[in-house]
Amino acid sequence: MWVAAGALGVWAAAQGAKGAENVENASLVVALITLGVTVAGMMRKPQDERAAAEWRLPGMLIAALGIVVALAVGATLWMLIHKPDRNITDLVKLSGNTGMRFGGTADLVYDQPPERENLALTLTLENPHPGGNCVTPARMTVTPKVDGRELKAREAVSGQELPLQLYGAERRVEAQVLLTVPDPACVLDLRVSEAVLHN
Amino acid sequence: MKRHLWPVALVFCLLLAACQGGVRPTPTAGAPSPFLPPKGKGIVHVGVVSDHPGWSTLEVGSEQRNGFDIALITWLKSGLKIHHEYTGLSLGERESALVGKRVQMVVATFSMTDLRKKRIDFAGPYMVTYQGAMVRAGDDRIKTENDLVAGGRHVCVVERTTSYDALLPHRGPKLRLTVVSAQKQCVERLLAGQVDAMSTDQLVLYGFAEADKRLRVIPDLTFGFAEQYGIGLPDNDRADCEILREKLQEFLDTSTWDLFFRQHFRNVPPDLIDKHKPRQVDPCD
Repeated sequence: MWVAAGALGVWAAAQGAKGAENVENASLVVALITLGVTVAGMMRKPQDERAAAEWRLPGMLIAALGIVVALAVGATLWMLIHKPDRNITDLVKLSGNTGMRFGGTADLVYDQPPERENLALTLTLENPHPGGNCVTPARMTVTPKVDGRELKAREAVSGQELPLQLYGAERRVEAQVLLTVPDPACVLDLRVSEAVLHN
Repeated sequence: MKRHLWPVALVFCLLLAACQGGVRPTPTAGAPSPFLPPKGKGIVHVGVVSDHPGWSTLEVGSEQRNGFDIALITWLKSGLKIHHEYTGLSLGERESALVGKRVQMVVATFSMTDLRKKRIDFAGPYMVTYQGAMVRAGDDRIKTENDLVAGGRHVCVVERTTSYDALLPHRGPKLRLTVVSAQKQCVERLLAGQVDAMSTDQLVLYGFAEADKRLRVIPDLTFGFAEQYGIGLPDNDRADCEILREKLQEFLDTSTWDLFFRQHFRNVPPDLIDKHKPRQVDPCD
């Protein structure tokens, strides 16, 4: 049981932040199965005890072997095909991101092969001045580009995660961010608070 | 059998706990909401100022409070079915009163700013105004923003306000700032000829000018950020913010806002009224 719990823990950790929903769903299924097995065990008749004792050692060996094989196959599939999430927050190059006013644009570039299907991008706006209600009403229109191809623009507010599909990008990922803010006196700085490539 | 059950139960509990990862904590955990049921038992302590004509004044003797902010509080009280008590605050105390839990909300020409939002929450805006300037009636030396900030004038502002923040970068030989703790002190210094002008939100100045005809707001002189007034709330008070946000949107969408505005700011040119009315209340952070 401890081996199984450990294996599940390793698997859950390998999912990364963006696979949290999968982990939650799988955990619920496993939890219900575990509960079912436990309840069934409690309801077993006493005469079954002897037969169960005979099967205990071979059963444990089979289970351990199964877990080892499953882990090996799972890890291989995970590393070679699915691939773990990759945090590229510090690798995204930004330009034009400071002192942005209404209508200003900033450019984001990740100039390496992404090797993943999706990018979870979270952009944050900061008001460096003591005055102004600027961040909450501000809107960002993000136009992604993969290998030079422009994709459909998306709108986001500060701190909102944008899920972007990369459509098999092989060389680089770029994005242009257009700022709109109701108060023309607002001057804002843009930064990437999180950028994670994932499948 | 029992020996094998407890790890099973432990794993089950751990996995169920893991399934709860997506559930958000209650926003008001630890701080009872004055607006959520059961209402009517507790008293909501509302922070207000007492010396802003047009916005919020306290008549000595009758202890009557009047002004746009007071009318808004009364309207909210009726709609939300709550009991309230006023707590008089100075402008500089508004934020600390919320942080220190002296009051549960502040309605006091309180500009929503990104900096303040790091410490407190806001529901709003319910009013928009800009920095303006007021002089003695008959004094027309100041006409533009440049005259104000670079004309060698003595200008009075209140500490810990957005007006102070807006003028501070210009402080020097061309702009002599007199910093006081209340707007009323600026008015007194202006009338006494100790300063050439006072600067704060233009709608606040219109309130003072309405109350004393020796004062004049310079109508075309506005500068700085749009000052958006909101209701100040303690930090992370999202549940209450959502309730007030809904009510404020109703306040803007009906004729109530216009009625209150015309009643308290008779001297604002009619063609300028619309620029003070926000169209949409911001989402709660």
